[in-house]
Amino acid sequence: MESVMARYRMDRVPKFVLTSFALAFFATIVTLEFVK
Amino acid sequence: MTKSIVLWALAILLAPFFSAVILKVKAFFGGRKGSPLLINYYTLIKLFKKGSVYSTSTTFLFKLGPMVSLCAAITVLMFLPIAGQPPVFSFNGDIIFILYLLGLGRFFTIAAAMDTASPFEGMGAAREAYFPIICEATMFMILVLFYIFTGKLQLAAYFSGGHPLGLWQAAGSPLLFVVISFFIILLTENSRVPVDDPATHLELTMIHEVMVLDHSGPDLGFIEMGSFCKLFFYSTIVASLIFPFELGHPLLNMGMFFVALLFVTLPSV
Repeated sequence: MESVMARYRMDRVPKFVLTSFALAFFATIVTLEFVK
Repeated sequence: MTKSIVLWALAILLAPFFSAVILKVKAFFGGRKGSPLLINYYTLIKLFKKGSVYSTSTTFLFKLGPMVSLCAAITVLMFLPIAGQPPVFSFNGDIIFILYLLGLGRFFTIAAAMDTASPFEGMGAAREAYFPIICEATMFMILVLFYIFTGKLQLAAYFSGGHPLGLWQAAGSPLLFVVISFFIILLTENSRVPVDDPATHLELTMIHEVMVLDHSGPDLGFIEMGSFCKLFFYSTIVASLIFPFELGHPLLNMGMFFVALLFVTLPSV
């Protein structure tokens, strides 16, 4: 069960980490466009 | 300067405590009593009293890995503004130096894991090399944002004194995304759930823990201490962004910083 869950999770981890990049990228774009 | 050195020493001493808080919270939600809050200190003392066992197939790289990763983590804490105080060392561009210092520690941990020639450790090393690449892209994107706000590539310019509050005043809404991004980086870099589960016993499920399976005694102690310092580093950054306020008195700032750090470490079970 644990290994099944691990394999399921491993596929999704890069997407989860990429979310952080997407958020930071969005924040930079918003700043450049509206704040600065 | 003396205050900064004292805070740096305190950070190293307190780093294992915050990691134990995570274990305690995890046990609480699991309906268990959990290990004592000083468990990490007991573990470190136990490990440093033991001797290390080395496989005949390993080289000096295997011994070098834990030392370099601990030294890198401790040096990184020297550049970290704690409780709004200026850090021990600071220069323009230090944030890039810090990121690559953490990368150096990671490189040597990976090299030590590969040195054992164990397929399991190689698997963990590949994952450890892969996920931080994405984190690095995020970190540099956040740096671009902070550079727009402050015009500096210096950790002290972002997180010391009233600077975090200045960041919120300059652009509050984009900074919310930055806080979430930093928290995801914290979870990834420190191998926390959902990226990794440090409590698991199955090698297939591990990232960081699988790389250190062959280390023992003081070497394992160095690695554990290094990971505590790294968790403290990322938690402090998130805590500085979440609680950017200056209370006027160093002791009040310290107290608030302690509470903020607990607040950040609790969700990272």
